[in-house]
Amino acid sequence: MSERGKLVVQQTKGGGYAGTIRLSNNKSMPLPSYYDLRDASLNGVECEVEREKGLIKRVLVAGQDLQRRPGKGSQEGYKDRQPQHRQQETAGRPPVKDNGPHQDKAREENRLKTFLPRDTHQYLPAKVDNFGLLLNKVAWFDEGEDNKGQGKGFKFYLAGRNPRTLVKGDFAGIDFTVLDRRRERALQGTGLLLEKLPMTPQWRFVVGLGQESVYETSLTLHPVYGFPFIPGNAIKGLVRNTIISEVFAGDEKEALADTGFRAIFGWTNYGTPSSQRGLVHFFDAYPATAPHIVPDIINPHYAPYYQDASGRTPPGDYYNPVPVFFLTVERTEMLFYLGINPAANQVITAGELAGQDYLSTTGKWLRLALGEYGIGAKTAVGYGCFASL
Amino acid sequence: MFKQARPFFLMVETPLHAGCGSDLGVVDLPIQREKHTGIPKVEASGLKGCIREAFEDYDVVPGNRLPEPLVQEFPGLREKGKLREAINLAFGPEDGDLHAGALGFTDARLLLFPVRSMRGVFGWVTCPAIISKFIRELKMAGLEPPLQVPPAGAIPRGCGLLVNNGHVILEEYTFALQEDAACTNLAAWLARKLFPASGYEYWREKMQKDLVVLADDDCRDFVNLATEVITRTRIDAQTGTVARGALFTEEYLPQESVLYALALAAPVFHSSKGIFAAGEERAVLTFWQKGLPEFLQLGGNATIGKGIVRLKVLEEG
Repeated sequence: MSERGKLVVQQTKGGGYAGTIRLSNNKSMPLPSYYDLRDASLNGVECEVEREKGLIKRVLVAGQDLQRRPGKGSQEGYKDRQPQHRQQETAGRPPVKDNGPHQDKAREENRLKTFLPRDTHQYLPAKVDNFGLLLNKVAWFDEGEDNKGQGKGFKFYLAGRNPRTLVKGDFAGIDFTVLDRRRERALQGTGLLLEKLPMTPQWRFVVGLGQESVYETSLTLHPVYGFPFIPGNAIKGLVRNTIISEVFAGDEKEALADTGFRAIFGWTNYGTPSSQRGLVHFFDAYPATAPHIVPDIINPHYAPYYQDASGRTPPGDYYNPVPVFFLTVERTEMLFYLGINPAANQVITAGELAGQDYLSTTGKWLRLALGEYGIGAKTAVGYGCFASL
Repeated sequence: MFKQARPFFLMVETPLHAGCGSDLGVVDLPIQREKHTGIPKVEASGLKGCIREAFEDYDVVPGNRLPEPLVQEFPGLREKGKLREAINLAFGPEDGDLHAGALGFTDARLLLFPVRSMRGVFGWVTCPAIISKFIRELKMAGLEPPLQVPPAGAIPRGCGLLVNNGHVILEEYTFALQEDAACTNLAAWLARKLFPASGYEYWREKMQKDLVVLADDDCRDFVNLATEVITRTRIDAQTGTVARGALFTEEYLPQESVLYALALAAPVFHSSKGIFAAGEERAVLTFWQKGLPEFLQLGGNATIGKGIVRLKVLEEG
């Protein structure tokens, strides 16, 4: 709904201009700060005011939106896109009853901005096809609650009364079935004997949580396609570590003395010619279908207690919890590949791992490692454990 | 003296680390680059060694039979010891320096580099400098490709990366680009030449429309700053945490990068010509082409799945 009013522009002490709107019912409201007043020429001009739940949404002079500040001009591009965000968010969610959250939401959105070059901001499409770009380049910066600077920082998830994800993992542009077919063909094409293990996380997994990122947390994404994946080096390290723990009681030296273990993973003997490359190849694990990315939370309740190295701060219940959000992958089948030169795939005859051939042995241990040890971060609390179906 | 040349493409299927040792820059283990342009490449010596190994594997690895087209062309290879002899004549003898090899290779140069796009997931980036060098080398090989060098800022007709009329956003940078006939032609030609008949329809279609010719400087920035860099760590088996001093970064040419190189052939440099009967350069090149595997593992870190490339010899026409 729109009302008629009159603009009152006054010069401030700092030399800028501040505006007030006198509405027809003689009430006055300050002009929102994102409007750019350069001089007093608009003083006394008739205007139209659009309000929603009492808050000024738009001010029109002669049918035109007032000029906005360049710094906040970014919000124009943002506003254009925002309705879609909002629709996605409210879909399938019960309507909000009281008035409060709406105001909160409007206020929250005004606090958000991105750091993109101006032209990129201008042309940014409503839907970004590459999740890696969406998450790490179109990062939303929350300016924090008014004046206090609380909750300031880059965010992919907004907590509060209207919790919602700011970045949606949408992988509609990628055909995962075709991608896997091409991949399998390429891996086989090098002459390797392959073992393919489709595994599904029992709960969620997160790989690369601690990588560098503008957020506090991170997630390993494909450098070109932008979908989450598990790097081959992480898989190799996991299997190696599992065997060391399970078979050699955590003693790496003992493991390196074992012939089967050395053949599978390779070893280096600096200064002597007796080094060998590992026989088994561990390939990156890609999703079999479009991955489901869901935000998750770590909520330390006793932050001051953990941070105090002197040990004088007690873990009291009077501290405020400090929520830290991170992204996880849920309900997504991952395709693990192991490969070996067929000629080298002999039965292990000596050592602790004797019994089966190299590839089957490694496959068995990979299944056990993924099922019981878990891969990625936070495995101690149930993340990263996989089951084969 | 090389008398014949045949260009071939290398399509990166899993990240490729053709390393140049350690460095004091941002990345501990960077990839090989041309000194004067900074454009990534793969040294010819590494490429030749890998291809030679693939040929030698036909002999050694049980079950890895000689490709049928190769045996049809050179029935003499069935005899014992003939393959080894042919490899030595073509690639040069393994020990001693009795004679030079009849096969040579140029460095594999980068032709197309994948960059993330706000629309269309990713696009292949190249520039006039790279394309004109590519065309020049094809001509050097005696080919007359029906290609012109597109101007900087060109996209093919029906580009799938456009965010509006005339703009593409790669990483966080916006480029004003225009449809161009030479670029449409180049994209269609490459899509036809790069991909095999089946299994790659999705990428063939994509390359026809999602190729971007940027200004040389912009392209150089992408190939320098938008490669894949991964951090490697080692977990201490005793403590379960990252081992001290075991953290380093490695640079990779990402999946979907496209490189090209020339295979060069000279007449056999030895009095005994082996299977190459008359000892002509043509026979040597045929031997290479018919025996070349479709896939090859190149560069470092094979055991964590890196460096698989698909090879495609440029067919005439």
